[in-house]
Amino acid sequence: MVIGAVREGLLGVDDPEERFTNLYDRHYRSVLGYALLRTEHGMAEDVSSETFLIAWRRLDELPDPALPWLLGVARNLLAKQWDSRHRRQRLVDRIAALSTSQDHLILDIAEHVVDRETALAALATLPEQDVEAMALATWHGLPPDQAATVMGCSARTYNVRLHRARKRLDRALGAEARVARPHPRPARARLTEEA
Amino acid sequence: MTYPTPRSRKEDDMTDRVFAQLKPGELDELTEDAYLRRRSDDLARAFQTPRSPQRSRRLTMPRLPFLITAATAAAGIAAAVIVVPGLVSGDATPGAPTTAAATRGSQDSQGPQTVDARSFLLAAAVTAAREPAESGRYWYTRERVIQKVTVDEAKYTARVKTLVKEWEARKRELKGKPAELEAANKEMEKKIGELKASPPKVSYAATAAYTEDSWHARKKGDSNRTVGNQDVKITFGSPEDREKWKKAGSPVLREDKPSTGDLDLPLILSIDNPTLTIQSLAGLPTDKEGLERQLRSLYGKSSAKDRVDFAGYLPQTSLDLLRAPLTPGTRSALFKVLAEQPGITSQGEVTDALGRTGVALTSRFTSDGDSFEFRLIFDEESAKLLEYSTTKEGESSPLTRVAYQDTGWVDRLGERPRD
Repeated sequence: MVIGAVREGLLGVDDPEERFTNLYDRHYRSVLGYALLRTEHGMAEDVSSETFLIAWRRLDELPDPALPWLLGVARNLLAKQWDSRHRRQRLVDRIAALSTSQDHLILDIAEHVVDRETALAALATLPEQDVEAMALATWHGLPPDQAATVMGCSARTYNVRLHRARKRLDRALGAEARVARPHPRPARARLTEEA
Repeated sequence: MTYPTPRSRKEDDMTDRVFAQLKPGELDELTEDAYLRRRSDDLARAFQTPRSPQRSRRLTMPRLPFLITAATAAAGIAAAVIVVPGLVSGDATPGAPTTAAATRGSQDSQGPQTVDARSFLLAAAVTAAREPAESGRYWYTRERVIQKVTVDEAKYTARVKTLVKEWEARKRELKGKPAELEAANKEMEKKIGELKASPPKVSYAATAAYTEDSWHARKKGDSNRTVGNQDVKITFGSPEDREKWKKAGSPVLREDKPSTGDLDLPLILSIDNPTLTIQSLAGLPTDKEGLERQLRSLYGKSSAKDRVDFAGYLPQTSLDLLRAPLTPGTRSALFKVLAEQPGITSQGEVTDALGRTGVALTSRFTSDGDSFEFRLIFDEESAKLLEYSTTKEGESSPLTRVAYQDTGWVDRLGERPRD
């Protein structure tokens, strides 16, 4: 047994079924989480299953780490259906669709008190690829080279997108914060906070 | 100390933290639930599927719903369905029945020119074989898509907002009463869940039509492009439907703004057969027996076979192939394979969504207990694919209707074929 097996659950295992099961257990949720932010539920699950089936067939060719590759396959399946039977949805629309009452309505961070809807509206002004760049970094925790693999671009291009996304989002949020700040910050700035 | 200063790490952190909070909290729950639910099936399905010894051009690969639309319409929020009316170019009357719809009613037996499906396909095979083999850097496609509007997105959003507001008010009332608050939270979750499960439907009949151009690179590594949402046209079933839409606040049914997307990853031509690529098409057999063997093998490994029999799978995979750049030999062989299939019937001459006349060939399949008609329309002279549509049995207009306006090789992104 090798150290690599601990890391990715893949390298040290010879039995393909076992390797695949490890891969699935480790990454299924991430792949589905990614797909859910691009298309509705049933389709997202189907795409995730499909992604792993492709991974099974290509098991011997999987890079390490495998997650960026898996997300890239899922992205491919989602984005490229040649026909229009199932459109990919905008990330920001999916966020809105998946958000429930449990998601805080107010984001209270540092000096910023931002209404969730306003933040989403700010996000909606960004190009889709910029939002995706931020999501890969922030939600999926991928370093730039891996995120670039998912998006099928160079790390440099990815970094440009990420930088631009942060800048634009920051600007949009900053405008909002200036409006919000004259009010003294109430003790329960978060409506969701209980006494 | 003034601008423009490089962004500080701190600023990035702050923005990232705001962004991090936008991640829907429900996501983890959803993925965990799906993981538990699908794991054994997904693993079993994989283990039954042969693994490729190496990356090869063996076209295997599975499944997946051409009919996701039907499967997800029930669960999905943005599920859209497609319908016909008023779509023929130059037809200014909303809801006017098209020739196609009229012809469908008359079925095969009494069309003005009844063409036998088998004879038509065999003739098409000869025509296709005569076409010159062409190539280029990008395979260009222009399609006109018509979708029926089903979910009322504006109303859905408004209802979510109202629910959230109510809940916020309720929470303020219940401050200091944790048990009741907990109950109120549960109630709220339930309401949101119900709303998601059955989103408000539009009360009017409307279709959104748009044009999409796409450029698919022949070489791996070249980027691909799509330009969607062009010439968006909303059509109402009747003036009454338009009034109802106005009363609903005239919501935007489809954004009337072209959207361009460039993608560097290789494209998948067929969701049922995800390994098919522009590159692999050139290696498909050019004889009937070879191609049929290939297709049956594809089907055998595809979990489309869980949903449809080969007769149901073949026409849909054929659609995926026919709109792609096949070699004349493979195209011809495909027509021959189709000619031998039972269950494909001709509806004779019909008019497609763009007003062009062609021969309609129809097959049927069942998915999730519903029966569907799948129709391909071909130009009688050139045997080119003009349109496909899927219609649920018992409904007068198609679920999906896509007309291929132009296809061909070009050398640059953004370029269109001449002539």
